[in-house]
Amino acid sequence: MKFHLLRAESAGDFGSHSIIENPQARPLKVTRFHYELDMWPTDDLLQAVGVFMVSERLALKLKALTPAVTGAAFDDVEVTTSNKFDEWHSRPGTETYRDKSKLPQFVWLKVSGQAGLDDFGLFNSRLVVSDRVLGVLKSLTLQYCKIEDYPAEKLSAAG
Amino acid sequence: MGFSLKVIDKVARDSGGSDRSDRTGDGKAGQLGNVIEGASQSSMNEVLDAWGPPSRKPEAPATALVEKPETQAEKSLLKGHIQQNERIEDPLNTDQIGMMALHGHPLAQAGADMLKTPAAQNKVIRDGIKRDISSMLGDWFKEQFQNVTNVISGFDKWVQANLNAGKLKEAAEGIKRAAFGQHDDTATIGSKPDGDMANFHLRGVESPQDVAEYGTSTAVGAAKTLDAAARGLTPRGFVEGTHAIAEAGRQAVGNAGEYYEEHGLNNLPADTADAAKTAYDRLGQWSADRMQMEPGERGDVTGSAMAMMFLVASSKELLNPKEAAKRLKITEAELAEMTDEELAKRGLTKTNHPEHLEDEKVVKSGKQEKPHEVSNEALENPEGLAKLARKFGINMPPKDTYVFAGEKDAVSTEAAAKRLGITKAQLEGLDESALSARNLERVPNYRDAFFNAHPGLIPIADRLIIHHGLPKWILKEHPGLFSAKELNEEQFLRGITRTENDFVHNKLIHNEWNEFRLDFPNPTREQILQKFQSIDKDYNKHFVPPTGERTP
Repeated sequence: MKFHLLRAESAGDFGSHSIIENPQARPLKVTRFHYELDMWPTDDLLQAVGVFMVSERLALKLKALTPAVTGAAFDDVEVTTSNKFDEWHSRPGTETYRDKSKLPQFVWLKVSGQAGLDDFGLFNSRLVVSDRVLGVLKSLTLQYCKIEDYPAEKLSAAG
Repeated sequence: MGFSLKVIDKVARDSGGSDRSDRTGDGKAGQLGNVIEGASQSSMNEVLDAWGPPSRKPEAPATALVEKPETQAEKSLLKGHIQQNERIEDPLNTDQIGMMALHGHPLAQAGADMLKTPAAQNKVIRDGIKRDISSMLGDWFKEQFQNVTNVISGFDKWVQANLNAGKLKEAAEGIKRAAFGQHDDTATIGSKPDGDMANFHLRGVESPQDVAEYGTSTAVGAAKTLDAAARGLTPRGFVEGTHAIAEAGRQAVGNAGEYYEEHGLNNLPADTADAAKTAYDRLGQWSADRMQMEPGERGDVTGSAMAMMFLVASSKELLNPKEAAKRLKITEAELAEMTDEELAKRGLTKTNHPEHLEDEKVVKSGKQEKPHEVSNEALENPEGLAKLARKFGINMPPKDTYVFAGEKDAVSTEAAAKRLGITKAQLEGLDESALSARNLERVPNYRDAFFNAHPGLIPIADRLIIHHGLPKWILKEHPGLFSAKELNEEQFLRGITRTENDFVHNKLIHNEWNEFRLDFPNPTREQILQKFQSIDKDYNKHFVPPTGERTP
């Protein structure tokens, strides 16, 4: 099966309610995920320093795959907006105004699989997904995500 | 095609051009006939000067009155229907064909040559030549209106890549030419051989509504152009550029408005009205909150907005006070005393007509307006600049803010004092070492710092987003690596236009730093500075001002 390394869009950063074991570790070990949006997200897959969340609609599609996807679980994420976001998007009448109530709902994508083996895995904190998962991702919005082939020779270094 | 020809005729009539055999003329009679005899490129400019833009309508009082559409609708509908049917193939006269010939159109040149032949002295043949040439040149004229939209659509992008202050005037001239349907192969914009301009698809002009929409596009384009062109200009350059382009937009829209009115479109379709409103809002905004000009300055910019208003109102009947008083069978003095409500009851709405701005100065303010130079000087005067800066929430000199150790966001003096449990005055009295002992730094407000360092950008402050070139998460994740003061220094601040911010900063640069964080969990100062420099190098052209030589 083909695999792909994704450099997913980052539309914000960890919020203050996040609990991160060691901020200097890679991949980061996060026990509570709070994503603070700095800007309006474009893609259905987002990240903050190698910790991922997906839109609810994407989660539903992934959960509907048969056989079930491997290497990932879904959990709650707290999503808030930063001052920067509000400054940029909250003034009605400006060209950058966005109705905050239209922000999609997100779900934490907790990746635990082995890159190149499971549907979801990590390589150097980048998401590695199977071909079928990429197909689902591409069926929604994946505009700012850089996609590279995941090289076979790196399988041994995965995870 | 018919309506195009009618406008050509109108343009020629306004310019006073004439042909002995076609109609009687004024002081310029015979000029163009002579040109045909000696047709050459060298005389083209002279003829174009003689042709010139459509003349303005006769001066009228400042305040016009619009008869409510519900009282006018039926009449307008009928009038429009008649006008539509009356617009038949009016052949061009010899003057007009001559002008087209000098304008470089090969068919017109052929026609002009044919009209000089002995056979063309026969009236039947002469009329036939004129009819055929007219038919073909009508399409040419239609294309000129297409050019308005094409030029403007492409212009915004073209500006991004090519425009600098020196080209601004040329660009405005290009818009003016397009606005008047003049085609000049030597114009900077039209002749741009590469880039986006070449890719714009021509749209057909099928109806007066299309023309009105082109006017709208022009106004929107002019406003967009101002956004794009504003970067890097001095205050004076910005003001001058604004005037030039706003005036071009005003003329373009006014021209389309006249055209629209002339052809009796009765109801502005909803989408056109929305587009017009957008354009009006944009231009109005330029006038109201960007320029902060003296009244004399405001006039030109507002003129664009007013022209748009004219466009919107052009399906209604405009009356000057004299006409309105006559219609109501009252005196002008009595009319002047009437409130808006009373006017509404009589089916009238008070409005301003773009052609009447000159008079409005007297009627509305009753005093002489200041000349443009006053505002220009104000922009180059420190006090004037500080006043303008305040309008955009910029303090000159920069206001102090405070950053607590391990935090990324600055807080106000009041908030910091409250957290420390001291008064604002006590906090302001603390020196750096005393602040350091309390785990905080005093830093200038970064936006203030940026605009104090680049006062020339203050007039467009609301079009720029200022960012920290060294991201603030560094302070939180790697305390001690950089001071908050360093991050807020002007050399590390970057301006990006609102137009580009969403893509360039929010997406590209933000994602680059995210990648950096993944690769360098424990970065050194040097690694962070290298990344900063690499981003500067890659995105230099997007920064305002460009940063090449500023990189530390």
